[in-house]
Amino acid sequence: MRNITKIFGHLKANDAVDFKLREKSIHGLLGENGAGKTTLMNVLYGLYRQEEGEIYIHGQKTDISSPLKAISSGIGMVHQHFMLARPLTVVENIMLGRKSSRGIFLDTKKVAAEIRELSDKYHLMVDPYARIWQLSVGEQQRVEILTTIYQGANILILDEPTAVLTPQEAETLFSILRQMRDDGKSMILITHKLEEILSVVDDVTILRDGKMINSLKVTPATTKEELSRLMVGRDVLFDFYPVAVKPGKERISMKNLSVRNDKDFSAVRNFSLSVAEGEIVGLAGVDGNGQKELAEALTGLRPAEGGLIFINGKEAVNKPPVFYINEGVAHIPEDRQSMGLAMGFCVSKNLVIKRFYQQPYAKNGLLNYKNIKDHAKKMIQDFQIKTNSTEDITRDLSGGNQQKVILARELADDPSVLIANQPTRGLDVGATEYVRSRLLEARSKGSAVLLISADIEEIIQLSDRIAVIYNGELMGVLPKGSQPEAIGLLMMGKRQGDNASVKENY
Amino acid sequence: MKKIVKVLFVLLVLSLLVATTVSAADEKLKVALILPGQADDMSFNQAMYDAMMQVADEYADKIEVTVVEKVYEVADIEPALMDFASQNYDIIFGHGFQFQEPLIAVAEMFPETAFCLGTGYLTLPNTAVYDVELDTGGYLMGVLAALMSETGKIGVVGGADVSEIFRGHEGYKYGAKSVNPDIVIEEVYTGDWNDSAGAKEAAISMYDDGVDIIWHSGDGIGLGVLEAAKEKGKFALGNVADQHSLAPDNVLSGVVYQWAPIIKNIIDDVISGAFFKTDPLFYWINIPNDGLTYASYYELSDKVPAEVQAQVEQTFKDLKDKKIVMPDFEAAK
Amino acid sequence: MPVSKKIIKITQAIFPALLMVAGALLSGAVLIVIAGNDPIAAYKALLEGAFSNSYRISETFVKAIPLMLMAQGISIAFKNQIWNIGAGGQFTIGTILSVVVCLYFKLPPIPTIILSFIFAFIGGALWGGLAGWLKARFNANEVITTLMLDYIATFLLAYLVYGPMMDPNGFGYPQSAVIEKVLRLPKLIVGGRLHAGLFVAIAILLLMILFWRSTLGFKIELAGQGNDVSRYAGINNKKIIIVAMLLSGGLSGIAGWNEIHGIHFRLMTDLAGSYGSIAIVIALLGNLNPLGIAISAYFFSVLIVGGNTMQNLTGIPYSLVDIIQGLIVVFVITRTAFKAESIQSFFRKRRYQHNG
Repeated sequence: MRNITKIFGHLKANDAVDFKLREKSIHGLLGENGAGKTTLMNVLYGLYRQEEGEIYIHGQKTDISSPLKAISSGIGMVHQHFMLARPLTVVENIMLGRKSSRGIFLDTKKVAAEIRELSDKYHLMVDPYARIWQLSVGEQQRVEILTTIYQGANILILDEPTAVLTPQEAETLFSILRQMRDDGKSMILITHKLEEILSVVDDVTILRDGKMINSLKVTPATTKEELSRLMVGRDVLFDFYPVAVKPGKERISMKNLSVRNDKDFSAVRNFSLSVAEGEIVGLAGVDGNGQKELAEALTGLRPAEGGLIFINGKEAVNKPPVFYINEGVAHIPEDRQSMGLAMGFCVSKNLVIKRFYQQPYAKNGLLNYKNIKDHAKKMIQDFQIKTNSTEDITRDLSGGNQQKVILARELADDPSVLIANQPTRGLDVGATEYVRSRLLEARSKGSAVLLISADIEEIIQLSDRIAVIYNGELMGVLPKGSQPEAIGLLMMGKRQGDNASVKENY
Repeated sequence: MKKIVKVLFVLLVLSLLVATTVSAADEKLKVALILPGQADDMSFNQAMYDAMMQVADEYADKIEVTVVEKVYEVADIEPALMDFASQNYDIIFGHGFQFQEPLIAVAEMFPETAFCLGTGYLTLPNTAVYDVELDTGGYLMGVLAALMSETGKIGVVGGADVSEIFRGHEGYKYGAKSVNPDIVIEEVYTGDWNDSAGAKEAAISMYDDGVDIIWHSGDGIGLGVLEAAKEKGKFALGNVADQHSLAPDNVLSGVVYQWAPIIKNIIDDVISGAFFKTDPLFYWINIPNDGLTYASYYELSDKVPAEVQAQVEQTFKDLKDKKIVMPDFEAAK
Repeated sequence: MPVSKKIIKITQAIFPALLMVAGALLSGAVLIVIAGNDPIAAYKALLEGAFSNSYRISETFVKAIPLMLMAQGISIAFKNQIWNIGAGGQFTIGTILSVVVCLYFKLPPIPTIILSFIFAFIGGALWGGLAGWLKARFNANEVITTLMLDYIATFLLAYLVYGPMMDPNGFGYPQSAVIEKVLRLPKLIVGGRLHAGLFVAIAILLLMILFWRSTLGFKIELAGQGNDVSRYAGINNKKIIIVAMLLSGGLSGIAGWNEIHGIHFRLMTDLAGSYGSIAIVIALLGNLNPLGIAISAYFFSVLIVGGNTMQNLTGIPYSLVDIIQGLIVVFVITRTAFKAESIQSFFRKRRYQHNG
């Protein structure tokens, strides 16, 4: 791809970007959120049309006007959000939208056989007749990969493929990718995780602010620091190991807590854990194992089916959300856009949605806009929120700045307890670093922090104790400094010395 | 002193009257008709609209006519009346009882303008009410229905039980009994002139009960009755306008309002000045004054035996010549 | 700098509305040309119809009062993301209770007027609040319930004027007796219908501006931002839905009170006419902002009054006004797209150019 420029309105998402993919290689595309990685790949896949520049495939100038064209040119894309019909089987999904060799009849058997062959070849371990909803996230991803290969792709684009995987699943994926490379295929791996670049990628191209910064071969000598400097444009602090503070008294505890999810299935079972003043307890787990339901139960947003919750020593189970707010339980929700923020509100209003009726923001039932605004100005400064004014609509802020608004609101009053659910998900390196440092600061100010995260590295870096949740159950609590592999095993539902595989979580 | 004032006052009134008649003689009268619904509603609005157009042709040298339709909002009536009054219109027709209050209010402000209210009861010296005397029309329909019924059961569906509708229904029953004293008559008031769904329900249950011909005395409800007749394949009798085209196979005939004669009366009275001298002033349409006729049988003519046709025609003539006189239904009520 | 910033902000706020109105008027003009008429003459007639004499000018306010009151009420529900489309029914209940108080309570004039106001407010509030309660309690779709309650109110009114409340001296016409002269709102101009209800409307407008600066207004707005975020912020959504619908209906009830004491003086069928639906468009065109609603209510009443007179005097059909109204509805519906894309980026570009 030469000199690719793509403009959205006033924004140059790609600015004269050159990108070269060698045959038989895995190429990392590295950059912060909003650096233009996905845009560039969408241009390659025919979803967007570039304003300038050309695309050459195997040396031939190719005009990719639509995904269909891309597919016929041998380009396939595995999206971050899977494009699969959940009630259908794997083979049915792959056949969707394709001509059958038997005319108006489906050629299911033939396709299934072909899929099995491909699956065996690359050790994808996909059963063509399994229904999508029965599959784990990792398996669904492999179905997506299979689909693109089946369509004849030689060049695979994978958009943040490990974002939803456990370390073990990610390792499986990487070995599949290596095998496919050895078989002659080329792959582009969109990512902002430096470890992945170092462990699996042959070449790396770094984008920043829509521009191509550098393209280099990855050698054993390549370091994280080097890459991150290229990506962020400055030095980034890694490994800020927390200073051990002696934890104080228990601030939040749960005993045999059970919670149901929206479908009325049991989501959290007999869960017991406590967090003390000045302590960060990390709760590791693959997405969808009850973390969301647990966090909501601990903030009054979801009724508990059984068990007890104590906040600051007070019985709190099934009290309304306002009780938790008044007890100083701060909550960084997993879904920041629909729960954490009123997206249509301006920044200053969002900063007070939990406190607007209290002094100094309101008096005698009337809001005091001046005080609300002054508060916002202070928060914007304290939390380095990038916004034109206090009255900017929150929806228009970037993801990282939206998260900072939530942080500012939740941490402003030095909460007694902080429930942080996936606080750095989807954030770029700079914002992630900032959020983590704030969590540590909250701890040192005495908050009891429950850090729920699927990112093992984050858990290891920040936590004083590490709990692991699997299928709604507490798998165990590990001390600080535990190995990622040990945590990963628990996240997969395997206890130490427990060789029999635990039942899959459907 | 008092006397002088009195004389002056009389002089003033006279001069005003002369002024109006002189100016009226000079140029054509400007006539406005405000309709609360659509001019082609095959009913209340259309009957008046057609009549006004007919008079506008016949009196082309005397009047020029402006028609406004679809004044649905009650709150918009007064400004509409004001629009015409302030544009020096000479006669303004408000076609519906909902015009009553605003019409009286505006008429008070424009004492030299003639205002005509289509049904109602309040009047001022410069206003009049025009209305229908439905009893003779009902009588005629009753005769026709009773003669045509094979089951000996006939029906009548009306909107609200207000005086003219009531008299129409009583006339219908009286007429039917005059040709068949044993006839069974089913009667329903839906309570709302626009409740065509309710009217249809009522009509269907009548037909199911063995009634084979129904007359309706309403507006919107008439459409419901005709729908029912179509659905059940039975006869119905129309009202207000010639409703043949709404259900050609089912509408046997019907009362047709002919407003043209009294519109002409009103215009003549305004020109002569008599309009302003009489209060209260009511203009009625009925069979004797050609205000009510009955609709042609059209292609259903061969379904109506010649002797029935003759008897209906004779009844119409007798009503017209006042040989048949209605009793005072209101008193009997 | 702050002044120009403020101007940009205000322009940004009203620009979409102006664009929509201009678009509607222009498209209307195209249709008039297609229909073979002169658009300039038509719009001139429309403006003359609204402003050519004091009576017509007063009429523009007469019309704007109930429309604005109802639209302010609707805006409370809409900000809460509750689609109250039954303002007409809430209005109707307001008219009924006003007349009931005036005809049957037999109190001195001032207490009667005040009590009538309170009853109209409470009646409208309960009619709206019932839909709110059904939504909070059973998650019944408020579009359905408010619409159904609108029908019920309409038929209740019809039942009353054909039955128990029919004027005993009214020769059987479906209308109630008129309320006494002393109970009518005083007229503000001679010969016109403009009445003291104007002051009530202005007072409500000021109260609404205050309301949106209150903690209750904030709660309603926050709840409208989504169930999750408002629960997260500690708000009892169910309670807020009911409160929002009570207030929303109450304001339409006041509009009903206003029409009884200022215009009709009695009950007749269908007094609400199409006010309920026009008020929705007004609320949306006014961007649910109290001042914006007042302006767009006045704009619509100019359209209506001007359009009626235009039809009466020039014969250009009132359908023109219907079409303009319809076009505005279409533009309002597509506004989200408008707002998100072109207009905002237009202003953003401007701003960046300005800064850079």
